[in-house]
Amino acid sequence: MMFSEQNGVSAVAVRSGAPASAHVARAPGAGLRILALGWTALALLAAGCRREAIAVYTVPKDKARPSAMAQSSPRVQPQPMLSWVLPADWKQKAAGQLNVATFSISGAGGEQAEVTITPLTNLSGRDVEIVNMWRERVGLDPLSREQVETQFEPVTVAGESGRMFQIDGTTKLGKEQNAAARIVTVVVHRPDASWFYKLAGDASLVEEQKPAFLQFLRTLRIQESSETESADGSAKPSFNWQMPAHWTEMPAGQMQVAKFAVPDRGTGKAEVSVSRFPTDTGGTLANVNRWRKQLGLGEVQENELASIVSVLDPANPEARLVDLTHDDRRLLGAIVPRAGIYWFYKLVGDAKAVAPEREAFIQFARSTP
Amino acid sequence: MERFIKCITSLRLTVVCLAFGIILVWVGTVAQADEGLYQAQARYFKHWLVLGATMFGYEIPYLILPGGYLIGTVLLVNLVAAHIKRFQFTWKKLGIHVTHAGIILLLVGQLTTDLLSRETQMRFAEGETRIYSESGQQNELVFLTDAANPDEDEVVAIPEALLRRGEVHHPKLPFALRVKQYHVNSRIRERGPMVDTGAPPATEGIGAKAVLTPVPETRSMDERNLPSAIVELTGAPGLTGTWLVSPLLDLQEFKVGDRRWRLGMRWSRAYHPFSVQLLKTTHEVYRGTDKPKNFQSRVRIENPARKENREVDIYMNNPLRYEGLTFYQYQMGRDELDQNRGTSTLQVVRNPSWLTPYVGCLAVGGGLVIQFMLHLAGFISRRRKQ
Repeated sequence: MMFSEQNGVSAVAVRSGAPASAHVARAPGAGLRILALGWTALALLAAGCRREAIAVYTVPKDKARPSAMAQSSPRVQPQPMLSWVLPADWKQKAAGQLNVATFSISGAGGEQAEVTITPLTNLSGRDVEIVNMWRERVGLDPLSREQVETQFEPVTVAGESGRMFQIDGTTKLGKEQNAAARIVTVVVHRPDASWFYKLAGDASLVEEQKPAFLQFLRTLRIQESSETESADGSAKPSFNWQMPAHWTEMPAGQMQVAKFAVPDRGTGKAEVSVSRFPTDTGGTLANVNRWRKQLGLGEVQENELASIVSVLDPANPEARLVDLTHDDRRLLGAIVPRAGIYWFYKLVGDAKAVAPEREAFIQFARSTP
Repeated sequence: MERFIKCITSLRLTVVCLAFGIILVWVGTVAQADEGLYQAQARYFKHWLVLGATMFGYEIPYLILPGGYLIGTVLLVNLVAAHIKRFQFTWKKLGIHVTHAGIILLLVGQLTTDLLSRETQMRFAEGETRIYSESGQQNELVFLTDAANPDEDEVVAIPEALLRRGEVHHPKLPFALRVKQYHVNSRIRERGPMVDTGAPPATEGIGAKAVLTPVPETRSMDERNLPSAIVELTGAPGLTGTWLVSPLLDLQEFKVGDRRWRLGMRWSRAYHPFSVQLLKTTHEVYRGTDKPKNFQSRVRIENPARKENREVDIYMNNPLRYEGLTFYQYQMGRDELDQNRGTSTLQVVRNPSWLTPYVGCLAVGGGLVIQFMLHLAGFISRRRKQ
């Protein structure tokens, strides 16, 4: 290909130079001119060979293994359910993209701290890298394996043993940038995932809240998800979805228990996702504002909720429905409490694709899985 | 003109070139410690002029030296021109002609090696088959789409150097590529939900779930730069957002109309018209040490064009020469996912002018011997006459 082309060109040029110099013996002036020409050609060839060009070619499809990062991506699987006793000063917020729970704490002097619970891919055996990753975030140098081992303290989380480490540094975690910050992290390696419980924020408030944090971890209860082992050994949720026949089931994303694609009728795309949590993850207002943010809408206040939210199911007056539209995007969200578990349904996509699915979505959210 | 000819054929010019050659070799060798082998080679020996140098940890910005190409070119012109000007074919000077031809061959051979040789590596685990080898230094941005044959991909490969220009167009691509950021060396990791609160580096694909940290370019022989780029694809309906690409990441998929495309950055590949399958690795060390005793790869070469299917052993000091390529045993290891599976890396060298140093040295040595023998014969015959 490219190689052979290059070789062909250069071979001709080199050969053309050689006989030229052989003849110049009888006429030195002419010989030198030919030599100069030959050498100029070689120099141009040198420039040509070094020039890089876009190549187009056809090859058999690659069967290479996925990259290191893809291999370490979190596996999508149902998570166990958590319950806890919340300390007095903590406020539950809407969970983030990967967190199962987030709590905020405010100090008397305006200090801020945050507690998060996050399951990540199983990182058992990589405690040194975990600690050093956190240290890097607050501008500290990495530690050796021996030094890291001295940083850990044993703690108990939901009856299981975990390891706690603490990092002090300056970061953007507090109200002010470069303020003294502290991160207290407890990691528990479970078969399903590595669970990270983190208290981070202004150093003084974190120190004050540390006993409450440890007490909170002791009150945690982890209830394994109601899943069954299939014949091939893979875990599958045992839900009985009563979804419309024209929806297609898709692989559920992180923190989701199910996902469906709405068929494209030429009006755009839309999809339905379902997730469930042991709490209302911050309440109706926090969830409505999270959905509004996803559509690019501004936040609303508590007193505006009534005009936005309606009752989803007269048989379950606690179940809420919200219908949001911005530009040509539309989102239907439902929060349905069932037997102490909060179910979150979302239909989102192009407004023209969402509109004909509204009734089907409401019936789906009303049905018990 | 005569003055010019006198100048380029003078012995003084030869001496000056050789003196600059000695200085350049010394400066370039010392600079390797600070600039790294590959950069020092490129900057000092594969350039016409050297502007500034780094020696013993200090930068010397005002040092100007003729580069390897300039010294080699002037030496070659000087040698050939002097030879032409004073050429006189007599048997008495046969040795000198042969010696000069050998030196010319050495100089031209080195230039062609620089221009035409290419080193790549073939990495695989036992049982795996490769039809390509990968560059240890260069990378490329690739777009793949299904070819007419469903088992094949059509590849548009853009060399890394073109990514620094900002925008790339190609008739095979139904969109324009705009490079928004390019980093020679970088680190990429998954976003940590507790600490990574900033915006992700890209809006589409895996870049939306990653953290990108540019790091200084490494010049160490033991490390490799991990480039990354944030690119935007424009000019096709429905194509929006930015993508993060790096050799660390898998190919990422997108659609233009009904056509499926995959995008990624990878080590530059050289495809071969034959396949190599790694059958077995043997990794022996001297007892009680990590010192390698025997690195050996048993491979199967399959070449449909030649109807060839045979097994070959490649081990230290016993490379395989095949189809203009030389396969050297380079590294051995264990598969990250399966420790029972051996891995092997073969250094694949393409050097069409690999014979020129051997022939050149033989010519120089032979020419000197001939010249010496002619002088000796003349001397003996004169002694006899006396």
